[in-house]
Amino acid sequence: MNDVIVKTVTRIVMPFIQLYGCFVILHGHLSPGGGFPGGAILGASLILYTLAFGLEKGQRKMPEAYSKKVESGAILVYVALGISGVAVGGMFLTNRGAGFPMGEWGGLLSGGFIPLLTLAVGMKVAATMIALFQTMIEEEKG
Amino acid sequence: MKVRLIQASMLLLLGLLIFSFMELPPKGKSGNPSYNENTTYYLEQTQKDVNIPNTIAAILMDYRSVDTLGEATVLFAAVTSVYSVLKGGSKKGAEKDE
Repeated sequence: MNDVIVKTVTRIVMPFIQLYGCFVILHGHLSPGGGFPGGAILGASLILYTLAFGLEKGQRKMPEAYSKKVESGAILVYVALGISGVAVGGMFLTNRGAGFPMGEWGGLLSGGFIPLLTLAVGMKVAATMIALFQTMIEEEKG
Repeated sequence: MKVRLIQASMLLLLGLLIFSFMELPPKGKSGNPSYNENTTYYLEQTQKDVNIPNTIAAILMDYRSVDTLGEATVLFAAVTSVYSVLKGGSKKGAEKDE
């Protein structure tokens, strides 16, 4: 697609979408939202970029090797956080029992490992969306 | 004959489903079976257990975090299957096919 209006609007809107996605992910334990919707917003911003500027620039912005690593790494982070509960002597995916600091009520760093899990899930969803989109559009082209 | 039999049984099933839908309790009533002690427990204990204001996040990421791990695994399986279908095999094999 080679449209000046679409490209300009995409360039202006992209940072705001990504900022909102990061906000939804980071405030997942305080406000409505969380890992899945925030990751979907982040992934949608990258899909918008790929649609407006073409596959090559999109792949340069978010290379496939990178999204693959985020994709697999996030789930490993999730499992590692779960196993840390077992290492301390509790159950799999224990929050308070594993000694995660609960923090101040309503603070950004509160609720033990919930912000970390939300971050991992959000990055995973974003990487999944962009990886699936780029793979499918690549096949269609080739 | 066989088609008629299938159609009749489908109609019977449809009637049964509609009838059972009529028997469902009204939405949002406080005496519903879905509004049991689980709901009360989550609403009352989240602040003490997890110390966050968002009860839904507490349920998703703490009480039912294994379920969320399963969801993440589903996403992983989706990406893996798409890769294996669309990009599977070596490049030599792909050239052979062409």
